Amino acid sequence: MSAPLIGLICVAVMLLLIAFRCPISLAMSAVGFVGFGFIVAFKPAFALLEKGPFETLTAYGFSPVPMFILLGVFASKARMSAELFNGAKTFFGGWRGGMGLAAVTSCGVFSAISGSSLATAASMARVALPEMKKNGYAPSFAAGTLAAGGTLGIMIPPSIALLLYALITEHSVGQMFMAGIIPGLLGLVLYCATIAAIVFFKPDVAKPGQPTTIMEKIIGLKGLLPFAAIFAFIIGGIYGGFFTPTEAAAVGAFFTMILAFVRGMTGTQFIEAIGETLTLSIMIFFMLVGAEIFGYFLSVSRISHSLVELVAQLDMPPYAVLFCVLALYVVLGCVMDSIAMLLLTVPVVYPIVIAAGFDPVWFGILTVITVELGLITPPVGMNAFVIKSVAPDIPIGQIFRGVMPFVISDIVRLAVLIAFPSLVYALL
Amino acid sequence: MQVSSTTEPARKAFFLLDLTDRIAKAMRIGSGVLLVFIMTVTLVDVIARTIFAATNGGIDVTFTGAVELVSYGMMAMVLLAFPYGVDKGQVIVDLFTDNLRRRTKMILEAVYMFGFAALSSGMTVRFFEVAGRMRRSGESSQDLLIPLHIVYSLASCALAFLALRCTLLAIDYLVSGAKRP
Amino acid sequence: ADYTLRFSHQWPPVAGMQKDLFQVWADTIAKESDGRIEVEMYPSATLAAPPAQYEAVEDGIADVAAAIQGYTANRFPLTQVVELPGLIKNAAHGSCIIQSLYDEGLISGEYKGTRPLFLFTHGQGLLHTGDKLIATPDDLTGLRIRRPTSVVANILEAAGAQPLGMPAPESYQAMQLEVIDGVALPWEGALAFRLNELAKAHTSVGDLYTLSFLVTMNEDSFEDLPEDLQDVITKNSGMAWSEKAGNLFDALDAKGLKQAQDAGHTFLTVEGGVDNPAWKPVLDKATETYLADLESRGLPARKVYARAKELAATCK
Ligand code: NA
Ligand code: NA
Repeated sequence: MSAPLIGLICVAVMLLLIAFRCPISLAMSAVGFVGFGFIVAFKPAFALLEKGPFETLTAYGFSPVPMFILLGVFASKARMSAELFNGAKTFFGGWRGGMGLAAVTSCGVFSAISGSSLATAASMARVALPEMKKNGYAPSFAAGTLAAGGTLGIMIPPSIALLLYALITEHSVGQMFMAGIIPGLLGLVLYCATIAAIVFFKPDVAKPGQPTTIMEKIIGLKGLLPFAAIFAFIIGGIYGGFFTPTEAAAVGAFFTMILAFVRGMTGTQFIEAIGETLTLSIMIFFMLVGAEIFGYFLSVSRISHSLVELVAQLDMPPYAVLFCVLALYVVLGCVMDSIAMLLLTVPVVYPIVIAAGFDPVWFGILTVITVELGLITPPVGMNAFVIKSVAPDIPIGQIFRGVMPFVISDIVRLAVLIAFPSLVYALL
Repeated sequence: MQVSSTTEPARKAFFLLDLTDRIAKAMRIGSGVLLVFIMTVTLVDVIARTIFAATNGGIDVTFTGAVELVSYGMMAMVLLAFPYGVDKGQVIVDLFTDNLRRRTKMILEAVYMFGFAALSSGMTVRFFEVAGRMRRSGESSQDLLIPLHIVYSLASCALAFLALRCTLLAIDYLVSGAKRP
Repeated sequence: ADYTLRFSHQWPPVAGMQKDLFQVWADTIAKESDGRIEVEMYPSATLAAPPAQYEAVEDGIADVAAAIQGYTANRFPLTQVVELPGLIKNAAHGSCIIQSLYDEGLISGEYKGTRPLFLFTHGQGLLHTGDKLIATPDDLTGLRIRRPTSVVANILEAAGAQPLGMPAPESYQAMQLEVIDGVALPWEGALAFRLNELAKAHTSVGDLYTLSFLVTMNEDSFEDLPEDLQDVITKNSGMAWSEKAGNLFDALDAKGLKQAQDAGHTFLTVEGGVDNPAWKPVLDKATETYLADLESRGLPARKVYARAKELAATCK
């Protein structure tokens, strides 16, 4: 039996296990271990039981994960993300669906200090979700908005995914970050349009908010202030050369902690914050370890390799190649982690796409958007899971249903960027 | 899909499991301390560097190894929190199995908990083996020159406890047919 | 193919090392085995993290890998003697020295558990900085310099710099964000990792340092091959391939230097290199400290170092 065939069978088994309530971290680890054993041998597979946890847990690159969660938790203890959200809410005032707009806009602002989609989704959901539910928003709409809003985090710099793409393809990180700004803002605009459309067609998913005066709207913007302070502190620190983006997470968390104490965070609340951060971090780290072991198996199964070879053999026009690659990402994204996907597929797909005559920076933006789509598509969508962890009472099916309009919105964004590549280069 | 956490009534005490509960909670406190430690180390490193640059090297309180402290600190943090979180911090898809009988669900839970037990046992053994290899080769960390066999040995101990706790939890699920609070 | 070998390394698929060395080796093996061996490439550290390449071979996760000895501190202390200042003229010369040391059995004890195919070094390491040339060690005081291994860190520290450890691919961003003031890399590294975009001043202190590499194979993967195929592997190991690797590094060094020259950068070649009176005392001290430390742990560092010096005279 060929390696890719074993690989496909194993992927199918993993999905089956997950469907039968197997914790996702266990399904990935176990299938990764067994699959690697069948394809290579069980002795080296055994070695993965050390490699998987050790490489993941000591990866300095992952250290922003708990730190950004901590930052978000402190921000909520300091009522910072709440003020951000409330300010945005006041700004959108009496509009039907105004809180949805406020939620995605806040996510967009939060993205500017967050390099990770998960952290953005977690931090904003914590604040906006209870508020939206309390105000009569349909849970699936509220959860979907926040799960999707979280993905804005990856386009608006700083961004872990753009950084990885730049490193894999040997492009300037700064250039990739600049290229991400307009597509990121475009995503925000389209998400707002999506919310407007949803509310127009299904008015009952959202309630109108309190109407507000111009003065109140302007005062509402002051919710941005503490946030803007941290943002300026972090961005200023990064671009002023005081600390790296990785360190920024920890420094930002500390700064926010001080702010939280100043604004009256108690000792008990501090301990709560630590506990909440641990709970969410551990959930993510369990899966990161599983994804690492599973990643070894995927590598040696050469599944992505075989698929890419297939695409190459068919000898298609350039846009058909591009379409297939993006379609492959969408399919893989249904079950795979975005970072793992980038690491596994970009080195293989990149030469083909470049050979077809496309620009590397532009393709990088399309890649990251498409890979990020995987975070909100079922059955394995990390952002949806994060929302689930914040609001355990909303069934996952409802979250995924709520996310669907935003998936369409992202596909529209891809189409716009394919039709008008100059949007990517405007700031370069 | 749900992050498994239940509030079903407590059952008759299962002495050994109670003990591991307590140890797991204590370990989690250590984990929280490490979380703050990671944040602080990074901050101190950044401040020291900034002072150094601002005084043109006049005040040198810089130190090497911040990255390493963060990396190994993070591993310790996570390994210390795993035993407490293994039954609470799991993401599962309950899309297709929501209507199964509770007993069936508990049997599935027990099977998967045995899976975690097997997995962490394998990890324990493997970390122990690598610790031995590191002791023989004398390999150390890059910056702080921490002997790596110590790192691996400690990790192996934490994983062994995780394996024990998973086994006890799995047995408990089968015996009691319910999750502890 | 009857046998598949998974070849893992950390260079990007487009890098010269992948295209003009590892892939060439893979193609040669395929050809000379009449297609019975297929070598699957795993570039960009997709099968193992950069510091874990050697272990990946030891554990059989990869069958063959290109590893950097210094990325695992104190694992290959005797091998890293070649990284000390003043030994090598260029990559080909350094590769000859390290391969000879291995062939003579002086450092081979450090590689139990895998089957090394060939060892090599990169060319002379330089200091690439924003715009400040480094005429004397005093100019390094307080500068944060990226370094590859702890041996090189000791050299830079002795010279007064603040060495920061990070994998080569990370140095671009660190430099861009001014987290580091400069990097220690050969010209090949400045080319591959785009440092010529950011560093406009380049100081050569002769052989300030170098870095050792090896391509190695899993013992079992080798034993599993029939004898005639084992011969194909054996034939494509040792000095001949070490030389190819060295020559390629030298060619890439020339390319990196030319890139900087075409961009109109500033250059400083310290007169006399490591023997320059301003540099010699500090560098000698760093060397002495390293050798003494190894000796104190019962390792024959001085013997290896002496032999390396002899080889430096006889290798071309
Ligand atoms: Na961001
Ligand atoms: Na998905």
